[in-house]
Amino acid sequence: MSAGLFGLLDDIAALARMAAASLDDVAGATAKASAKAAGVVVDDTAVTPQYVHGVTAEREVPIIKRIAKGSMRNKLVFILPAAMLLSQFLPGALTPLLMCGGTYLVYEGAHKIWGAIRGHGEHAPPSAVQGPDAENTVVAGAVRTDFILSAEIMVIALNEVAEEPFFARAVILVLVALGITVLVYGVVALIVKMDDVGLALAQRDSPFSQRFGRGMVKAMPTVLNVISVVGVAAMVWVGGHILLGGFEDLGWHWPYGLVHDFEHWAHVWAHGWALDGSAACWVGSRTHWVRLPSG
Amino acid sequence: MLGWVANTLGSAAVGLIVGFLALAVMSVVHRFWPGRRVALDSGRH
Repeated sequence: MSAGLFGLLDDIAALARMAAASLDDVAGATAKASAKAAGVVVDDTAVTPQYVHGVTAEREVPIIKRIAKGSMRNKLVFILPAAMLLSQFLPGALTPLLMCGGTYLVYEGAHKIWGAIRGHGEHAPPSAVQGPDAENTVVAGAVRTDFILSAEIMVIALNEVAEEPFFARAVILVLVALGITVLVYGVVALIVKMDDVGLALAQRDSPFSQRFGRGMVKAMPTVLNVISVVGVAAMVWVGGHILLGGFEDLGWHWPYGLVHDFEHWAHVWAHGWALDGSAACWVGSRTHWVRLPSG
Repeated sequence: MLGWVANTLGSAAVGLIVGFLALAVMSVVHRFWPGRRVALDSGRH
């Protein structure tokens, strides 16, 4: 009797260990998939605050909440089932689809860079929201825009976990969808409320609070600009990386080979620099690199 | 570390080349088919 009980307990312990290991796998894969997709979301973190530009302070967070709900619906109701079906029945389509998303990303990045060079990069932000109809229009537009971003994120994440079993893949994608939506719109809410917090601090009695609050209000345009620049860089980098990987998967090896050679050159150059130990030997180390075998 | 930087720069270079090529193609499309601008513009830029 007691042997049977111990056997049962042993089985339960083994099952618990297996479940814990699976959860570890899922958590690890979720983190990996989210990290890969994170490069894409910086852009929207910078863009979304524009949707509440000119809105009264008390409507800012409710509007962001509505956009976040729409984003979650986009990911879980439309994109996730389509992605799961695709990965299950047509996995070969994943790479070309990913490359389309990558091309769109680098196109957007180039568009923004060209706009900054020509001096008309930023379109006018959405007009101040006045009344429920205008608010509905702004939210609908933001959710439509989010659909493209969400599709990019989910396909990138799916590509990272394409080898996982069906159920684990579904759980990971749901976690990625929830995590990224909460992260992006949480940060957006923080950004749009930051000037209100600064204003509240500026109205306190303490001179330190006043200075800090005024500093926060003044810093916000710079913070948004920095996020925007990082977003463009992330778009170009992530999109380029997706395209390189896609070319490689489709059998077009020379673009990735070129980057790999560049990487190798950087390693050898750094090695030569470290050996020479001084900037005076810089030219010599480069000559040394040229003579090294490439393999 | 330096390898990663080189890889990142290489990926960004590919991104820039393809991005500007796509931009050029889209400019031509917009010039000859301006009606598509609204549908193609996601609103993110």
